[in-house]
Amino acid sequence: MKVLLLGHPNVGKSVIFNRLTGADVISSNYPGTTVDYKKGLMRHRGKDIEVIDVPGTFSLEPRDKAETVALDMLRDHPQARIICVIDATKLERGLYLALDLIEKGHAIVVALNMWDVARDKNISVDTVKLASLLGVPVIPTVAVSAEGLSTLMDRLLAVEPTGIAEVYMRLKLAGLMTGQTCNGCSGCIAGQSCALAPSVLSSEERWALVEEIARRTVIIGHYRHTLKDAIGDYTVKPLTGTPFAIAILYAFWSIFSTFSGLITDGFLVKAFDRHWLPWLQRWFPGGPGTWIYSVMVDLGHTTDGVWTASKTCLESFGVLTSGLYLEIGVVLPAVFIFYVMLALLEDVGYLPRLAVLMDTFLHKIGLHGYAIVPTILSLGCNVPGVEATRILETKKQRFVMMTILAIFIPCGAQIAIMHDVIPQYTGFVMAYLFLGYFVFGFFLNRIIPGTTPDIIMDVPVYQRPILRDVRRKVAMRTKSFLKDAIPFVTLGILIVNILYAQGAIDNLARASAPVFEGWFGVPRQTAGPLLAAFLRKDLAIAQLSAIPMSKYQLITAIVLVSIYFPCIGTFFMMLKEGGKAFFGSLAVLISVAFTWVGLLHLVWIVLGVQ
Amino acid sequence: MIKDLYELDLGQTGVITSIDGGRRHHLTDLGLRVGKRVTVLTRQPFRGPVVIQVDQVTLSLGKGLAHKIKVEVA
Amino acid sequence: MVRLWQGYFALLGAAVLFCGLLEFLSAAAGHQLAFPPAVFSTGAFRGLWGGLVTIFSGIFLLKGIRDFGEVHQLAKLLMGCILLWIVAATDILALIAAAIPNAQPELWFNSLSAFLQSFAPPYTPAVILLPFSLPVMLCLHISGGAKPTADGSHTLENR
Repeated sequence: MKVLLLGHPNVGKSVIFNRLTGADVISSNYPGTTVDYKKGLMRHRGKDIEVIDVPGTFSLEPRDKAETVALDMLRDHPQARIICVIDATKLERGLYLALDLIEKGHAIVVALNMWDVARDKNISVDTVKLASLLGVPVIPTVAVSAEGLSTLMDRLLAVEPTGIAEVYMRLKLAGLMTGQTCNGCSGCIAGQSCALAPSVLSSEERWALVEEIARRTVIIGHYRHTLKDAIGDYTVKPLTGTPFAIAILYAFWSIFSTFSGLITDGFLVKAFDRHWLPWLQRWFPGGPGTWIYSVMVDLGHTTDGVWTASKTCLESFGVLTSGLYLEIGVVLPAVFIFYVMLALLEDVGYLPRLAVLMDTFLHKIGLHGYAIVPTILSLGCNVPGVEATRILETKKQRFVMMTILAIFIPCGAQIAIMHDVIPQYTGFVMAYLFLGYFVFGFFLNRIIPGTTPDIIMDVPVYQRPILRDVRRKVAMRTKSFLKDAIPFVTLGILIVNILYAQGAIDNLARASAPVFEGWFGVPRQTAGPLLAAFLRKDLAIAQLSAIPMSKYQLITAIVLVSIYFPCIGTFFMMLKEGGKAFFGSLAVLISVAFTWVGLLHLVWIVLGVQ
Repeated sequence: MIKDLYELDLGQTGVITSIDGGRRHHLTDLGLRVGKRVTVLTRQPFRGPVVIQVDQVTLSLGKGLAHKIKVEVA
Repeated sequence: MVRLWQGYFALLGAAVLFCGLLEFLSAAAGHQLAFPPAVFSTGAFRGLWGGLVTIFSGIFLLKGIRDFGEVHQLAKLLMGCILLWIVAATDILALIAAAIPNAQPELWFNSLSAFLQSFAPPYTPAVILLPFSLPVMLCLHISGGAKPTADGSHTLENR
């Protein structure tokens, strides 16, 4: 038997889904779209049930991607039972969707979720009356504690489809529909349906019906302003909310540094440098100097014709050594902790408030307040960051965001290596990059046609995050990171290493050296690492630090490296998410590199240091 | 007196009289309909969004959208 | 009774604000301050940003004193405490994380005694002030049992 979970976003659908299904959850794109949905299995009273979490929709009119997918899913599973999840504190909104479903003849059960929040807000719903008016079972639930879910499933197994005409009839019988024509014709089918009642409603008619039903079933008590509400307000008001946001971002960054410091510097560096590397150096076929060994394990250093092995994974440049070290030792812990913190902020209800506070500024560069999420994610790894741009509504927004993310936001690996190799300049480099983020975001917004739609979103009540759901969310996102990012990054490293080994990089470096020296003001030896940086940014930084140059040249070189497209993983993700727009991003990248970094060189000249 | 939602002061309440524009449906979905009472909870500086309360629900609306909602102020 | 609470939080707020300012300014000047058992960090990140958050915490606390017990004021107090807890907790977390791995390259974990030793003072001011902010929980507990007033807000009854 199939069950579809429908409802608005943020009504607790996913929580219900998590409570009902076991561990075998598949999250995938609906074929031909970028909209995700989840599928899982459960057993209830001996029956095997497949539960599908349909993307949140407000109605069944196909107005955006999510709604189109929802409609398609309803069409593809006509026999499925439906659980329509409604937020008990926002009954009217949810009723609109429920009536639409009833009208379309589906067999539905209404889960009136967040019953506990409604109680706290002094809102009470007469579920018995509501059920009798709608003609479908209405079960109050508190998904976070799984209350009511068993009853919900019981009623679901027994439910039958009904129709709008029946709803109309029941309201009329209850004497509620005043002004509706009823001249006592024999169109009545004994309390079942009215021949004069429409079977399909217009939007206005549906809302009118919603209001009638809500008026009779919802009792709003005195609105008590609780401490939680007061904090909820203060954290979204600019005067009090901004300091709070600054504190939250401080916590974010501090926890990120501490965690990656512990896992990466504390343990993984040791594991990789003192165990993995020597082991590979010893056992990998080929031995030092051979082509395959150099590319996969260790390039080593050759001074005066004597080859010496590398001592750390970082300097070895091998696909299996540097590559794996960076991906698993540096980026993975970073991405993981970011996912955990974002999930916590999301589930507690803070993220929308942050988005509201940031929207003022982000709107000026043509982005939505929620664009803060891909930005933060990109600091861990650009690949999921770019992927996250799909939460933005318009093509223009996605393009701008994707481009400035890829160009100006350094990923965890870059930051780690910057910190390792040039800790004293890291702050400056990052500041210059963030400045570029806003400046170029602003320009791109002006140049590219299209408007940015205004923000419109719910600001939810604060609630305690449920650890179980956070765990699940993080696990799913980390798994997809491992699947998407790592193979491509490894591929990039392989390609660069081969190019280096073949000498292609050196040739290209010789040819382009004049540009680097003249326009950017960096020594010609940097050309090699800078070109390779296109595919292996983080390593380039390490290589650059070994070349003798002034600190200003070094800063310029590192900013240049950071501005290139991150790694080949991001490259592919941008192609995937942006399609043809990717080439536009490439064009922007080249112009940024020449202008923004050239500007920096100019600044040094003006200051007289170069 | 009929005003723009965006022109309301902090804490002021108005009753919606009309909603213009192509995103009307989106607004209706979230509970903003003719006849609803809305109260302004906060205003963000530099022409930022406005946070309002309607039916015990808190929403945030961008400036452009808020201009399209006309309310009757007592 | 209310007077006592107000005085207490006024003192706490002032102390937090003062320490925050010291931290911020000393970090800006690059000059390390230490009054055992406290040490004021000078790192750009911890000193400037962390100091700023501490300053905010002090301000929130001080602004929450007037009309004590009213729900919005209590909210300010609580938020002030939360900000302080953020700084203190991240400091403690950093302390713990730094103490776990062993500095020597051949060993993985720190010995238990070395681990415990890293918790000795000096501490940052936020950590030292942390215990003094905990009484706010008591306030919340008391106000939770208060009756709503006519306009719907909560106030602390005079106990």
